[in-house]
Amino acid sequence: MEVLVLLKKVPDTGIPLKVAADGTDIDRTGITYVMSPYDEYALEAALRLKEGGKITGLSVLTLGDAGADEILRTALAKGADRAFRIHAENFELLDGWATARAIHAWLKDQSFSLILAGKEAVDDASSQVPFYLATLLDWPAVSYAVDLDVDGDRAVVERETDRGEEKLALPLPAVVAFDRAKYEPRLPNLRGIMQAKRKPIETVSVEIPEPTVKRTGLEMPPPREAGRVTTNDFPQNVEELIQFLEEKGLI
Amino acid sequence: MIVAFVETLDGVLKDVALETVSVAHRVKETLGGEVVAVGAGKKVEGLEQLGKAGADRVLFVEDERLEHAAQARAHALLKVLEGKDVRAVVFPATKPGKEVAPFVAAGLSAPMLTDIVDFSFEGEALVAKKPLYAGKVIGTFRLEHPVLIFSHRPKAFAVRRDGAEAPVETVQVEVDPRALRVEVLEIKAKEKGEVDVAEADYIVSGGRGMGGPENFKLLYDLADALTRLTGKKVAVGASRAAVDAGWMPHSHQVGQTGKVVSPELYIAVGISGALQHLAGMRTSKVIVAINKDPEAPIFKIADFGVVDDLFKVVPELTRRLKERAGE
Ligand SMILES: Cc1cc2nc3c(=O)[nH]c(=O)nc-3n(C[C@H](O)[C@H](O)[C@H](O)COP(=O)(O)OP(=O)(O)OC[C@H]3O[C@@H](n4cnc5c(N)ncnc54)[C@H](O)[C@@H]3O)c2cc1C
Ligand SMILES: Nc1ncnc2c1ncn2[C@@H]1O[C@H](COP(=O)(O)O)[C@@H](O)[C@H]1O
Repeated sequence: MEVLVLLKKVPDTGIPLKVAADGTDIDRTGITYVMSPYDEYALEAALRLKEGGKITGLSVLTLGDAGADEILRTALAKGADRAFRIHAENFELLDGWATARAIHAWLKDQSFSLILAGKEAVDDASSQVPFYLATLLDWPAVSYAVDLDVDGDRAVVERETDRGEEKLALPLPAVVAFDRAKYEPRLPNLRGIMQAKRKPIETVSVEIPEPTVKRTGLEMPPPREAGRVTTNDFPQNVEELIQFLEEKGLI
Repeated sequence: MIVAFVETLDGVLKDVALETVSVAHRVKETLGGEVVAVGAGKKVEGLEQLGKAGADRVLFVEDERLEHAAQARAHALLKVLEGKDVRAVVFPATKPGKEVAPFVAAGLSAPMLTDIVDFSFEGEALVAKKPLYAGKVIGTFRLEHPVLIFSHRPKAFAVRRDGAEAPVETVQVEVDPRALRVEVLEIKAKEKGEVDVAEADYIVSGGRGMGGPENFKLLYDLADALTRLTGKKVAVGASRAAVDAGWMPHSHQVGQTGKVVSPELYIAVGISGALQHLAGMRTSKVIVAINKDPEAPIFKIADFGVVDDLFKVVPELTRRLKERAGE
């Protein structure tokens, strides 16, 4: 049984970003990239299934530019068996529907039984691609997984919703999108990093559809007005805080 | 017609549904037609209230099997909309809304936009703003399509209250067994009574500075005092550091890998203000920070900051609020 994990390359979440001078993109100077955090949880879940002998093969796929090979390399170092990249220079400007169709164009000739993804990529936070894909494949899918097991011909998913904790079973093949999992993603070890150097990254080309949702501008969020900070002594500072809440009509 | 997805959970109508209907009404001002609020799941009371926010009518598919799997709910929605002249479908960008919406869009082979915070029209094309990179940047997007599908950020749009009650019709649809492939094995429902951070009017959030799980009681007391004084829904939130330490459940986490919130008031207590935390709360209307470190980045975005020990400030604040509430 073969599993595919979808990984998207995104700017490191700990770095402040600004809009580039010409206003068409973010300023890319000094930006480092990572796999989107929820994808990292999905990958960790897959690695655990592999270690548990529940799956036979673990592949990873990104749709992205040549720079995205780096996150595939990281996944290989962590223990993925095969890595694929659908080449798309403009992947950050594709909407979910276009991305899913491009991935599907390749996927329809593959034979995976389970596809894992993030609940959303943290750049556009669209929460779309896994669900478009599931529909194109006519597979069952759920989001917000925090743990996953494979039990015969079904995936057993634990997830967190507004209701509380749910345990669901999906007949395979299926798509499961991850929230923050119950466990932390591992770091690759030295041996993995060495082995990954010998594993190939297979680049594939498919026709990339034009996005229907077009990005026409970027701006910085309105700055928050500089507030007041009190360094006065207790309990005068609490008095000031209460006055502030009153002025704002909050109490 | 303009469709507003009605969010319900186990037979309860969610407040956010009024926002979704209000947004749909704003779409109708340009595209015309009627606003039809559509929901599916366990039987719900009070749906006629959606008329006040601008729904012309409400259609509800009463079927318990649709309560758990988003795919099944989306399928029911698609069945209801079949053959109708649908110009737009609006969802809330909540946990359930973000899961149902893409299945509906996929069923219509249509693109969609997630989590918009503002919009206008250029002719019949939707021009919408949405936060990118966890709110560090705002993007403008243009969507031109026969059916405009999008989700709106909760609390980003005003609720209309000037309409009249709307007629509610319960509808039956034939649910395809393939849409019901997800089987529920077990449910551990959350304790009732706790306000979810995503739905709160005010949030009191604690970070590593709280020092331990027992001290979150201080925040629950403060939340309680605020509720009594103002009648608002007040939730207790947490930073990832507090969640990782096991002091609070993940469902309370605010931030990039937690929930994105925009309450009227956000009080950050013993939270430094890392970018990933700000990602979840920077659009709060008013931000208050209580932190003993004057250099903490949270003060850069706070409307009011108190530089002091939280273990002095919070109990005193609670005491004074209780006093005002007449206790
Ligand atoms: C991919 C990724 C995703 C992440 N997602 C999230 C997320 O969703 N949410 C999130 O919050 N973080 C997230 N983080 C973590 C984030 O980077 C920070 O590590 C975290 O927010 C720090 O939490 P904190 O402010 O509680 O702790 P700290 O940064 O340790 O700050 C504690 C603060 O408490 C103050 N303090 C201590 N004692 C007292 C006292 N007695 N009185 C007053 N003040 C006191 C200190 O001065 C300090 O400023 C994420 C990180 C990564 C890499
Ligand atoms: N370009 C991409 N390449 C690989 N996986 C992707 C890509 N875009 C989205 N995904 C997957 O789909 C998930 C949800 O993305 P999104 O729908 O963009 O929020 C991501 O967390 C990834 O797992």
